[in-house]
Amino acid sequence: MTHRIPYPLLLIGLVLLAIAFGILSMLVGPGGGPTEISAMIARGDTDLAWMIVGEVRLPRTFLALMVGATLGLAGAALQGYLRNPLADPGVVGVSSAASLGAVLALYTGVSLAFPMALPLMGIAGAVLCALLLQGLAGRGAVLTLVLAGVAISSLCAALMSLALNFSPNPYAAAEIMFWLMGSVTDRSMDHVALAAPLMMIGWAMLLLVARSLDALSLGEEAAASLGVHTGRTRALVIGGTAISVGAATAISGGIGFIGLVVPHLLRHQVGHSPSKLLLASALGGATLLMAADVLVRVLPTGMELKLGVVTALVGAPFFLWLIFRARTEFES
Amino acid sequence: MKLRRRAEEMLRAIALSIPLCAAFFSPAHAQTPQRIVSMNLCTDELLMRLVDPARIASITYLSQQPVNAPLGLDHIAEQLPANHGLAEEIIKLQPDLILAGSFTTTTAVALLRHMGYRVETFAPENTFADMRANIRKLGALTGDTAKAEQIIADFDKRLAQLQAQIPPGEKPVFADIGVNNFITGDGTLYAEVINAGGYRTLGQALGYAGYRNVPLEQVLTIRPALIATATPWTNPPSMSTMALGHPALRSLVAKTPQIAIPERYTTCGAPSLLGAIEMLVNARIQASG
Repeated sequence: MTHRIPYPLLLIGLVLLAIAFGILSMLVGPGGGPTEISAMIARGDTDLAWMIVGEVRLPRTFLALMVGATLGLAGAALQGYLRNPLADPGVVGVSSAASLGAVLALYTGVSLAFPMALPLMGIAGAVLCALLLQGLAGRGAVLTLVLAGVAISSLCAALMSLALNFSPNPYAAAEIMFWLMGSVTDRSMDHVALAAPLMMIGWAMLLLVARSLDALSLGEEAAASLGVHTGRTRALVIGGTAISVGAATAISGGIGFIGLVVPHLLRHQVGHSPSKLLLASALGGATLLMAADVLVRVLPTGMELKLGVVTALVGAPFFLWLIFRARTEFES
Repeated sequence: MKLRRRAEEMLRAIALSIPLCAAFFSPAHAQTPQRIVSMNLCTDELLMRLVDPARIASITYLSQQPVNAPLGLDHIAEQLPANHGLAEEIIKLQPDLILAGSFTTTTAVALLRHMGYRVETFAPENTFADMRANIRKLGALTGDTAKAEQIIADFDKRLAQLQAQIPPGEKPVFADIGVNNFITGDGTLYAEVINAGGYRTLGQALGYAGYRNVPLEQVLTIRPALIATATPWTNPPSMSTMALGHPALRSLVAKTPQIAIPERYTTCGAPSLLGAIEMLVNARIQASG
């Protein structure tokens, strides 16, 4: 097996990587690289240059960073809490339920009158999904949870299509792609301001359960004997996931695979400690999503790909490889 | 712009798939048609300019909408019977000549032809030259060739007058940013109109041909001298229409002189184009004065 990097070094490395991709994200785009932007400033179009860099690129970089961190963190927390390596906001249906909530807020016009309705209804969708999962699958077997998640995801996607097809606005139906695959393209600081505080509240809730997750890895009874309050832990994990993922999805659509793949990538590096995995996965998720968002801008695809397309194109084969490797490990 | 027109015409074509009892009926072919029906917004205008209103049996309902009113023809349009491109309502009018677009209401056209009516189709105009050709073609069909030449001469005369007023110098950029950042480039009627008015389109400035949607960042790389203020469909909302309210676009619009050109002035290759050209030339004069 590969060598383990000491935890503080790992975190520093991930922060540096995130900073590097953050800078890269500010430098590339269809509006031009540093040379074109400097040329714009030189010819006196400083305001246009600022619009491109400050009003288009900066918000998308912030959102990729924060949404990536949310998905990585929520994935790690869910996997630790459920002791289930397949748990991820996308797999268990939280992302699509959040999308459905946001779709209802946006296309009925509610969010025009009251902008906060967009993230709040995303969160409401995510909370309802989490409660439904709890009722359906509880702390049951891996398979039940995943099957319940698949069912909820399909149902929410169908209801989303229905809601979008009912909209009299001729552009609405085509926007299903955004909600299913996700994107941070051409979002504004208004969107960052709407979602950022809520995402941060969710992060705080998820980071609070770090210790309890370590104890839970020994089993529920052992954890209880160590003084872990299981009800409080459950409330924090479900609430934190629903709030952060609900707010993130309402602004950027449903982006898959980050929450699933990032904890797997880093689990060995943190010595399989669920608590250490939380922060590492948040940083890893942020880095990966910023990298994906840089990639959609530099790929010569004409119109930009949706982020979920890239994360799935990279994430799915990687995940298959993980499964393949795990199988050979089990069999040998 | 064009998208709306296409959508409306598509709707009419769909409405036509209702089965009809096809009664056999052969209208007499008069030498000069006296009961002419137009099933297309663009042939409406050419017809109204060319023939006496007494010879027009019907035009489309679209030409009676204020947003589509052709330049200086409102008083004629509102007095004529309207049709919705449906075969049944056209049969009832007993026309001796039917005008249609070559890509619109095709099922109705096929049915009417099958029933023996004389249907003449007109291709959409992509240039002023196409427009002149369509006017001549219609003049030949209705027996008004001299009038057709007169209309073309009037158009060209007014066009030359307007162009003579354009201040010298390079054509500044006129930005018309549609929903989903759709912009217009070379090889379109729209670009020819904008050029005739003394401006370049944003698509031309970016080096594109035809219609295409571009990322917002790319829109912001060129400072327009004039910007069209669209009225996007915001209620009920969609992300595409709401994106036109992006803070970067809002500040671009706020610091750029604005113009609102009625849709009809750029939709059809017809003399109404002069309305758009005049507005643009006036904007150029104002900017330089």
